[in-house]
Amino acid sequence: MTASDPSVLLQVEDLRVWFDTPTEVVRAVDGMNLTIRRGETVCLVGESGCGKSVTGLALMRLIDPPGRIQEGSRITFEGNDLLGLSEKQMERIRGNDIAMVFQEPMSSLNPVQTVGAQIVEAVRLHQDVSRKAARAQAEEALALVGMPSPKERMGNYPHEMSGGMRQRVVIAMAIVCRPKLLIADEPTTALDVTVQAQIMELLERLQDEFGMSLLHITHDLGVVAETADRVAVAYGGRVVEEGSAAEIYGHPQHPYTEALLRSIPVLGMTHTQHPLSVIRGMVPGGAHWPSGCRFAPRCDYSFDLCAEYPPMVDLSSGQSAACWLCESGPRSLTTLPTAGLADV
Amino acid sequence: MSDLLRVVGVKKYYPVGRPRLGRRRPLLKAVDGVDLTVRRGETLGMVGETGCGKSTLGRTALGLVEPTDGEIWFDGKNVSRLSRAQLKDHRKEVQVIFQDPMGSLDPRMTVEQLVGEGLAIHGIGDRAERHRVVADMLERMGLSPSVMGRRPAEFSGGQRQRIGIARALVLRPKFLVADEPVSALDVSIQSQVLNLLAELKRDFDLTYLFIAHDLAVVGYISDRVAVMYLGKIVEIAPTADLYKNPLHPYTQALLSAIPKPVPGQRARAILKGDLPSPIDPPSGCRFRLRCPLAQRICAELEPPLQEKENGHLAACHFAGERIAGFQEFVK
Amino acid sequence: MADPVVVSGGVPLGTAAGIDASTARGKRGRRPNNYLLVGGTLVVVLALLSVLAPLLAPADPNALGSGSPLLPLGAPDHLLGTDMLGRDQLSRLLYGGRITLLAGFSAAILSAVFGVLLGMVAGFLRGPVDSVIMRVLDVLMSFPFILLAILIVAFAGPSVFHALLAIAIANVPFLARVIRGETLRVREYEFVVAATALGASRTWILLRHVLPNVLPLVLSVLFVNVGWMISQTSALSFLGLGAQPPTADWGTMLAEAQSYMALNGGVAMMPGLMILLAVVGFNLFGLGLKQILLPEDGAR
Repeated sequence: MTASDPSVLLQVEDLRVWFDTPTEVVRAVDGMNLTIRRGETVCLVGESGCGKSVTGLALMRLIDPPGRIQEGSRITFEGNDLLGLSEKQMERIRGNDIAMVFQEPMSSLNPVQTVGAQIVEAVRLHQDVSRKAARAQAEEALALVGMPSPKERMGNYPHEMSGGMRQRVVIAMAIVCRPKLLIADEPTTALDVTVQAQIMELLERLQDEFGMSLLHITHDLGVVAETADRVAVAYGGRVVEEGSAAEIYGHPQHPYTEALLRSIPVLGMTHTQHPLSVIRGMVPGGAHWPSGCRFAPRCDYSFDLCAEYPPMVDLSSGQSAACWLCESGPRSLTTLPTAGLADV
Repeated sequence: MSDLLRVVGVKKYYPVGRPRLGRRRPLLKAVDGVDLTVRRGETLGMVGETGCGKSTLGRTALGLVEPTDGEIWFDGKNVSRLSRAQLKDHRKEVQVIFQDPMGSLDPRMTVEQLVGEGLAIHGIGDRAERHRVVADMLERMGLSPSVMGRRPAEFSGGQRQRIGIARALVLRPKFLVADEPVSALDVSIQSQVLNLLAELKRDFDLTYLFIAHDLAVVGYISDRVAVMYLGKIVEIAPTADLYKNPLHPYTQALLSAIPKPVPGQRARAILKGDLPSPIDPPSGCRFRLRCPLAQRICAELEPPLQEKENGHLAACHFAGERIAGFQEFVK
Repeated sequence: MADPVVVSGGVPLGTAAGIDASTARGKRGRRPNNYLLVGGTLVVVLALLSVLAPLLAPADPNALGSGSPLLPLGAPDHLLGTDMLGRDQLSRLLYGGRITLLAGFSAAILSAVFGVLLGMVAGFLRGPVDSVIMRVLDVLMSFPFILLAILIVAFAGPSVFHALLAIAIANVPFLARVIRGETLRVREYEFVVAATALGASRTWILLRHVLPNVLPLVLSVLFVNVGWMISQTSALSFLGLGAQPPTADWGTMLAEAQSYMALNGGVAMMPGLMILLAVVGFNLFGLGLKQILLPEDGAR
């Protein structure tokens, strides 16, 4: 697939974001590759330290010093090189073509401005419309995100709203200009489960209505399974496995993905009958990536070849994994614990 | 006596806002009448979302928070009536591990001081003995005794959590309250700590009160599970029963809302509205404003927590009815 | 040749060569702490001068007419000149410094001890104890410090000791407030709850948990306070409420200097200059200490 493929909205190639601290260089993102097609939901999943959040920020060019996107990284949006744009050109894209939603709605919202004013601001930054027209759009956006009594809500301040409502406001601000790509960085992690379900349903609905692509960055494997078209598993600043949700959950190829799936408790599992498997060791942190395969020190299957970093191997279906074990074809695994759950 | 902990009619109310002359302040009813027993050797899980009161209940059971009403009985003693000296002794028997691995450890103390603090407070053993006990306990947690001189900032979240567990267990308590012990940890570390807790329970002969918001985690480790909503228990049952056959509509909604790591499953039963505030709960059944099954009786009469099936209690006039969209999911 | 494998926390991180490559670029030393350096130097120099005064002073500071009156700076035998009564200024400054510095330091320590005590108790216990302590301190704070000091000295009689006592008392409220704020912050941490759960008494928690966490703030504020106390005790001496003749500290010397300012400017400036150096020195040192003890990166 080349960048000129019209179905590809965003292409990330060899993205490196390094942070220069007084004592060391932290290579948070170190060779990230990602493809997002129009209308699809891509979940970038991984634990802390894998570089997923920094990737999201890099796509919006929101990396501040001491962080820096390194030479050789390529981000192409609709065929255009995003990294070559001037700051002014980038401002026209942010909030307009690409929008972002974060984990903590309270820190994305200005506490001394009404919610309505903030959405209006988002509109007027990108569209040359009257204040009245902007307010109309803002109200429409609130209605779209399922806010009850949107007109009254326009005058509320963030602290007068619950966490779920605030997240809706943030989403409203993000989609008011109908962006082509929405980047959501852990949008539901700070919310309670029942509210989380509401927000996820909302995001799905918005996508269907606008044909919007969604890059969903999260650590929650349950959320990923429910929302993703394609899944990219990140470890050590890179993508180690990629595939459709069915592929990743049904037959994960990379040992890290497999280990993750075996280590999460799933509804219905008990510790007496299904002991959780444990990934030994810890993530070494972006300043100390081991040479060779970055997961090898913690991997149950590592062997001598792992001293050299494995390339991404394309497996038959569209799934790919960066592991030497996959070189000669897909691995077969013993049953995963998720096999105990009823199918829909 | 097989009941180790008995919570009887416990309420905890907090007045809200500044004191005003001549007017009573509104009350935040964090816990509003809870009866609970935890049997010796069991793990009782407590789940609920923000504002349900599970943390407050846990702290009250520990004696860290004084209940506005009601009593706590531990091993046959009325904890609410203990003298200061007796209370200090009581502390050796009930311990707690916290959610935040960073904030629950004093950053200025070394690991040895932290883990050994309980022993020092109760004057157990001399310095050398304490050193030995701490070293043993750290090893038991999978940490090398050589780290005893280091400070919390040098450890990862999972390691800090283990230090916290070591601290709690060094006093050889009978009962451990785990207040969201894995919520702040990475997924791959969660399993380490959960496995550790299961092992320790066997090895140290413990009884757990396991508080969490993650139903999968709670279900994994608990024998029985209690579901809380707005300060009250709405359902309580053995784990398998609760998950296979949730009687209360809120439990059904909770189970339905949890994202499952199986592609293609979608949350079907979605509740309307937001989590209500514990200040001024609705009349009658507190869940009725969000409940798809609500009828007139729900506003007039608060449903009591009653045994509906063997060992399975629920507080609902329509317990057992399925809410729209809920599907059984455990084979 | 095998590259040695580096291990951390039981997990092999990779070969030494691999790691060096990544850390080589961007390896920088910590920013030098300039405040600490400059301030520290000044403080140490002044301290040494005070301690070694008997060895360094060329003459008896109180000896009238050890030289001709009003000799300028750089005069032979009298490096920093003489005053109207022919007393050697260098000796006077050295001996006077002892008093000024000691007074300032003692006042700061005294103020800190009571400030910490009251602040911690108020912040930790809250409720009526907090209210009472804070209201009393509020009243104390509402007096301009000079008036308060004058009041105290008026009752007790003028002397260096009373002056430093007065300054210490006048400053307790400020320190207590700061410490109370810090205590309020510290007590919210879960490790305080954890200690209670272990069976700790409130005294235990105050001494073993709150105090050590509050101490860094105290230490860094302490040195800045010394500077402040020095200037205040000098002010009192200047007004004649502190050191009484024949003892002199920099404050009284400053007062005397007024009278021969026009005649021997250079010499007259010296006490003021010394006070300035001392205050700046301690201030900078305190700021530098703050940078070390209370890093902004939230590591605590």
